[in-house]
Amino acid sequence: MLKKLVIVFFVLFGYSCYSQTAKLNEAAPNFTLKDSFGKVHSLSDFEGKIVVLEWINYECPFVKKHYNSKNMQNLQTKYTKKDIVWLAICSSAKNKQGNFSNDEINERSKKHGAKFTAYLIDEDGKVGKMYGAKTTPHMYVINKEGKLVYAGGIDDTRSADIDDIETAKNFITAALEELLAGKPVSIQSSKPYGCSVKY
Amino acid sequence: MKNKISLFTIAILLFSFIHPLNNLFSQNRTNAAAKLIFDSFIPGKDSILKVGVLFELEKDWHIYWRNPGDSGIPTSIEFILPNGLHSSGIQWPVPSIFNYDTEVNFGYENQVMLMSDIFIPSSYALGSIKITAKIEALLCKYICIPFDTILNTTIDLTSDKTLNDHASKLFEETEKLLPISNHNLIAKANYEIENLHLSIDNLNETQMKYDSFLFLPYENGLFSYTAEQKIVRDGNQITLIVEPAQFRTQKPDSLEGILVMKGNGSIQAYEIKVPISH
Repeated sequence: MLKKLVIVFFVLFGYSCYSQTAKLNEAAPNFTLKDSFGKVHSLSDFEGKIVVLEWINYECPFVKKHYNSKNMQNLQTKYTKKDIVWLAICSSAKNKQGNFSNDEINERSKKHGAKFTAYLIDEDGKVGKMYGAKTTPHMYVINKEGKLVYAGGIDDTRSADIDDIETAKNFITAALEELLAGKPVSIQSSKPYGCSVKY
Repeated sequence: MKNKISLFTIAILLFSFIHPLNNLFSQNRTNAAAKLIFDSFIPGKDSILKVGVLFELEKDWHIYWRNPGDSGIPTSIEFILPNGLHSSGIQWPVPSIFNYDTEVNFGYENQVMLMSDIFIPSSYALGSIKITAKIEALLCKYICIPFDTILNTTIDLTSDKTLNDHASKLFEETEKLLPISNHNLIAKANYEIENLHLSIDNLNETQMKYDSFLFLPYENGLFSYTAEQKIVRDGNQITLIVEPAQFRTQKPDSLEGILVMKGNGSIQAYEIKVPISH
């Protein structure tokens, strides 16, 4: 009987953990995922820090735009040096585009010179759906108080063309600079653009 | 001889599987084609040359409407024309709705023609003109591939242009799929707490008989596309109740888009522009 109760508790607990919906200016829903080296990370591990979530699929042309140009890696390098946590999350389901073995993820990340804190694997898509991630890339910023303060595109230029990066307004830079200066984020949402997340 | 051919065939097949160029070929495989088609034109009489970019897409692949929905990017066509000529924007036919589990997209599959007008002033000295169309589209199935191409053609505007039946039919059918902008429908929109209420009045008996009504906004990021648009029917009026997008931070002051009516195998769309009262 006790065993059954324990099972029911954990099923309900597990469900409630992932049944929340991310909302702007509210506490960012917690999650726990393994990274590409097998290490477990929870959002709550980074309490008191600014956190960036980046939905990723290395095969998507829009992700390629930001990695082949080094735009994404430059942002990762700049802001992780400022004690900001950068979590790339892949919600591609098994046998879908962007779902790779850990070895291949690490090889691709190394080849790109990626500087994120961790590449997290969300193969069942629960975290992606909880955050309403629709595209790759789809970006989120969480402030030091743990509240979601930005959700949307990386910038304002909806294209797969590398040449557009230079003239685009980068919403992540803007949000992070404001947070680092102790200011509220002025542009809190934009329409993300890119490939669909391969749930 | 037969054995030699078999061995040669096997060798070629093996080479094609293991050679690194194999990947290159498969990545560059074209899943779509685009070409320019011109409507009939009579010099001295017509001041508009209608041009269509005809997209032919492999089965299950699609390109996007002006508002692509939850992912994708709008298809773009930029015309480069001789000095003195200019073009209209794309005249978008009613898109198909691709409804997946977690997202909704608006676009076109199989075959679609995106039409534009090229305006020819009466003072323009007619002759042969070069027309270039720069096309940027995203082609998606379960993966996405950029479909960027440049189409060039020269057309002689000094003689009458007539169309063959096939091209003529393409223009006629595409015209039928354009939303009607000149109509008697009366639209009102307001917010009730978070949901947008869009009322359309003055619908006639035929229009009220349609089974489904759906409003597709031109601006992306206003609505949740996965949430059902609730319909309330009252006399000659319908009201659509629409949920906002998950991360929308501002309520817009106006709304532009198309009201799509479907039923009994037919489809009709009306362009709606309406201020939103708060």
